Amino acid sequence: MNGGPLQGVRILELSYFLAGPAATSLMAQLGAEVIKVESIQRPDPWRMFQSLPVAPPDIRYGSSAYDLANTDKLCVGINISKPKGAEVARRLAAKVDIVSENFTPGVVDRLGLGYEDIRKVKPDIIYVSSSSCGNTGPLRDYVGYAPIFASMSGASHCTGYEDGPPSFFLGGVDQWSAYVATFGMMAALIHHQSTGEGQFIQHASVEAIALYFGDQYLDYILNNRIANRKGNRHGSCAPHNCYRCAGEDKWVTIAVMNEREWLSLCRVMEKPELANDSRFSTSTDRWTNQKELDAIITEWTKDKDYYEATEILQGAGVAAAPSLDPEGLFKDPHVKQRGMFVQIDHPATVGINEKKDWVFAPPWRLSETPGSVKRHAPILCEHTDRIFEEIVGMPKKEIQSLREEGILS
Amino acid sequence: MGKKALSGVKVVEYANNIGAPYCSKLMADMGAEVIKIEKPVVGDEARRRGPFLGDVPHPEKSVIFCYVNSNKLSVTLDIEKPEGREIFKRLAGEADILIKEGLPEEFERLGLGYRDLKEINPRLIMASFTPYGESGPYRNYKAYPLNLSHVCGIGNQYPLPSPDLSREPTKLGGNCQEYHPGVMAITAILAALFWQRKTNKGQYIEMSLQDMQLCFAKTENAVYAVYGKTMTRMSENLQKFPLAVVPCKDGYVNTMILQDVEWGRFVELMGSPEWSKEEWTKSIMTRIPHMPMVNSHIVDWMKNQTKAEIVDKAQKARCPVGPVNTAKDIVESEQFHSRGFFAEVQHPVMGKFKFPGRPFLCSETPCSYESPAPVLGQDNDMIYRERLGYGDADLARLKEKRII
Repeated sequence: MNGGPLQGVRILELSYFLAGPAATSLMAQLGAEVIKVESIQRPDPWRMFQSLPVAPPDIRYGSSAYDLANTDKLCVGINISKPKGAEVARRLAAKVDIVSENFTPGVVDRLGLGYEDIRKVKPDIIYVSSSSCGNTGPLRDYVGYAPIFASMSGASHCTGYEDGPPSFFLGGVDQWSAYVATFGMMAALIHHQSTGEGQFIQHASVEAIALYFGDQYLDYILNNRIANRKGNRHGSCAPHNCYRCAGEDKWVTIAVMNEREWLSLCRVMEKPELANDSRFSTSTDRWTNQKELDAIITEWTKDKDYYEATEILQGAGVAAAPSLDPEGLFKDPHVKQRGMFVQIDHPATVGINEKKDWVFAPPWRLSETPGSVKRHAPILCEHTDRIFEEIVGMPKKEIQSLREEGILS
Repeated sequence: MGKKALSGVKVVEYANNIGAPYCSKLMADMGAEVIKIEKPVVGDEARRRGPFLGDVPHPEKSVIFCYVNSNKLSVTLDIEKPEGREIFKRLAGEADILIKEGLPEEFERLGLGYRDLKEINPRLIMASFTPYGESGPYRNYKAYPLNLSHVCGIGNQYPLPSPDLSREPTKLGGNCQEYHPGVMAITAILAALFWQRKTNKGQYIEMSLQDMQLCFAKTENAVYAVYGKTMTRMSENLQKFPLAVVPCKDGYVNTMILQDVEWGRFVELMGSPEWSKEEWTKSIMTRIPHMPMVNSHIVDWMKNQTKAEIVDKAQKARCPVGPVNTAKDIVESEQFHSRGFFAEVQHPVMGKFKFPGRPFLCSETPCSYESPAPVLGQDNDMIYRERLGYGDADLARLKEKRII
């Protein structure tokens, strides 16, 4: 019980890696009960994923990355590759509101756990099926990882320097795709609440990531223009960039969007002459001569701490903020005061944290039903007995014999 | 119009640009009635933001405005004027959800704070968007999308991989990071709606753009807290694999060979060159020091082939290789078309065109596009006359006073 608005909603998760689990993790933060299916035979490989080349974690407890996508979930061990395993999984599915899966297209149907199979045991089920390119279309069988699907959606092409290659993307881009599936579940739940009707939602990573670039597609459709890489630059305003500060890889972002901010900037940099410089008199002039302008601003920022530069500029009404790396973010006074990093107890040591791990607070603050992150991701197959006894109502003896057969773990 | 997931849900929006309006757009596309309140004459700031259809600035021709406001109604209203505030209260009084941007005191000053509105409508869900949230040392800081792109931890990691740290980090391409908060916020708002329907109670939701954006990179953003080491855009961890955006004859492809089985298939695809038979190729650990050499062979192998040739071959061999697509590639993509990602729409000023962005396929309640985006104030008559019961004389007076 975490006090979230989705108290009483139950989700069965048949998904590995990040895209599927991250989608239901938001639902867990909002109070839904999320039951994750793994097994001793086939644990979620994401338990072993690490963002840095460091010693592998104990698979039972999982890595930091696993925790971040699976806090507050329950884990049940079912060998769904066996027909009997699929049968008990269906018995459990009959007791839930939502099933979420992200296997390769066709796999759940083959296992007898597809939408049609679950609908037979739970006619009003909401079933969300996620895949890379979708269950249909010429590319439905494409293999790859999130960064590849991001580049297929146009993310790489427009990210990077004007004079450089397209950027690669980090694996976390899976979260972009995941959170689209989450609001799909939520909308279906609202529809179910009004009508009692379930439904089948098909979600594709390439399409979900594409949502974030829709204006660019529309620009091509309407203007025949292909947007290219342009670093931090704005289409018509300058200065608009990251400027070097004191220290290694420390930068402050400065964005000036109007005349008043421009004059303030000239004033705080103690360069009033710039306001009368013909190279920079209008917004168009500043944009045309932005490289020169960037060099002048860098002269002012380069010896300052990025917080010092931020404060001076904010004091003058100029939008500025540091460019934070993971260390900067963790130590940032605002992020700290907002309590976005949350330390939780953990059965193992995660990274440098003895019996602890760091996760994030919910990104929204709901006044009446706040929700929270309370507990580490489940230990592998931790809740099998509890779930089959309490939710499915299976006798202890049956659980025991299924375990001996290798169906439950 | 078929069944819609959010039909009957009433939303009022008072916001600009992308983040908050994108959130209510997603609701409108799923059937909610979204009344967008805009300032008289000027409207949403996105109406003045380029690019425009034909590159001529025009309030009804902004590409971004068009993408972010589909299926909404538009009314104009000046809430700085007392009569305007009263109308705002009546609209919020009938709504399930109010989406607005700005710090609470800006609305409290006008008598439109959460407490004021809750008195009229106890079921109201009020989602309040601000750059840094409503507490903390930066609560009053000014922020544009560029600042938020970097202060949320994402911008600093790009472009990737960077050879060194001599150049500035960059935000991600296009306006993608501005959409993050919209996508994040809708889940919480719908969850609050779910609870409202069970309990008949509303609530206030604080939406910090920074908090919401940083959660789009949790895996990376937690690295220092967990390992005591930071991560840079040089991305040392990625250098273990043949993994890069590689130039080819007509563009770039993205190659990501992580597992041993993929390595085996990939070198076979390259014609099993002599070096691929050497002892060091047997395991990932022994391959690492050879990666610069391996990558140069990949570059040589790809440079005379087209994107389509490489990707087609690689995917047939089940190797994780994909094209680096441009907007044109996607708009012309058979995959996207065959699944109905683009809809045909008709706009009163911009005409008829293909419109992107249905988020997923729903068996019972598909998204559809009745209108791409509203013309400024197009629904004044319908809302003020029919809904709120103002007569001709009232409307003329409100117009004259520039309230609508």
